[in-house]
Amino acid sequence: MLFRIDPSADATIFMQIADNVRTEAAAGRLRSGERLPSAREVAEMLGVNVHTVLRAYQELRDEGLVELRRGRGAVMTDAVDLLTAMHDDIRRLAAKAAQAGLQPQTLTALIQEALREHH
Amino acid sequence: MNTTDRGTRTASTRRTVTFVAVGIAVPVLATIASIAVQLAHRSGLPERIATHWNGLGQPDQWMAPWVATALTAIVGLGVPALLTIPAIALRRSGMPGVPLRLAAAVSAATATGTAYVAAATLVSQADGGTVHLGSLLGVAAVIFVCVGLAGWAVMPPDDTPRPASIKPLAVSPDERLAWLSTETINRWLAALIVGCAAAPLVVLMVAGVRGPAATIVVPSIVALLAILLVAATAVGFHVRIDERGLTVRSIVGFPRFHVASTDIQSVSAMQVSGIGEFGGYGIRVRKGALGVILRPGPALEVTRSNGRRFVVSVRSAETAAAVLATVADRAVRSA
Repeated sequence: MLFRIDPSADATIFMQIADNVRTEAAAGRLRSGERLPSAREVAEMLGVNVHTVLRAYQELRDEGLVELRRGRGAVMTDAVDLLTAMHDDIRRLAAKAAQAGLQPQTLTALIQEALREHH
Repeated sequence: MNTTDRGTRTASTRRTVTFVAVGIAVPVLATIASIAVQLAHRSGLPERIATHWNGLGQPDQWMAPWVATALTAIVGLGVPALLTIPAIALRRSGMPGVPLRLAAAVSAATATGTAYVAAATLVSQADGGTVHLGSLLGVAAVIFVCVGLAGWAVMPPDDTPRPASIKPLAVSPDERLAWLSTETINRWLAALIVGCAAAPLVVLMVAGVRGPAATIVVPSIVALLAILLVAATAVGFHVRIDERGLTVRSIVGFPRFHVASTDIQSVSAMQVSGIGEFGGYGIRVRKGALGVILRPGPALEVTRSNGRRFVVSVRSAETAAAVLATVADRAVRSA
């Protein structure tokens, strides 16, 4: 599990940490049932506050990607498999958009618009 | 790229060919030659020939000539069958070969030496002659040593495995990295260790309950638990990489190894064969290298500034190496 955060980036640190987990899960490097490293250890290694990591884990719980259990920490749910299954399609779409010279925010907006039709 | 591939393949083919030649062809040819010579002298032999001599050089055991011929075949073909053939599959898979080269060289030397001794014993006793034990053993020893050394020399040594060159990650100056993984030994191996320790424990408990030897049960159980505890220190490790460097800690907390990011000369991802390179699995020490070897396969290799190597089994060795190379790079630059 690789965490990389950039305090000088626009996104908040807890969002970056959550993104790290999503990326690993989508790439198939985190399986359902696998346990995330303890928030305390990740915080210590990255030199951030433990609450920042916990906030990221809570964010992931809210979207159903992890389960937070007392004594067992953060465990990946079955939703991981869905993410992994989408991985190739998403990468292909991103590559196509980049090749066509589409701006990232344009693609993001288009995807959000398309998603709105399904909710 | 293509030329490198072809070069590697030629070297590996040559290694296999010489290995088969020394480990199988030489023993088989020596055995056939010896048997041919023995058969050619069959007519001149007495019914029973001397095959063993006492300390004074006088024969004290005799046997029919065909027994010596049969023994030539059994030793000459059995040694390569037991030593060389099982090693070929390993050899082909590119397993580092010092033990395998040794097996092939010993096969060739043993089979050739035996072939000579058997043929010479028979030939010198044909037509009423006797064995001159000293010269027979002297020549056999020379053959054994020469064939062994020549066989060893013919087989090319292993290329030092060229680890994939590791590109540090593209990171911004403020970016912080943390890589975490828990690596464990093969679950079947773990089950085997636990089974081996648990079986005598169960036997002891049953024996202790029923038998008069209850007094030895408690210390025995304590001893076995101690063994299990020691084994437990080597079944799993937390591998951590951050700005401070690499930390490898047993899941029971001890032992713990640390390589500071400022103490790193180079990093690579490699394929490790525990038996071939470290002589086994677990925490291994080999000339200039410390290994935490949990299974054959990918491993992270770090060379410290003093030239000593540290190798640890890691599933995503490439990622781990890239992360460690990045923090090491940064540590050197900021120093």
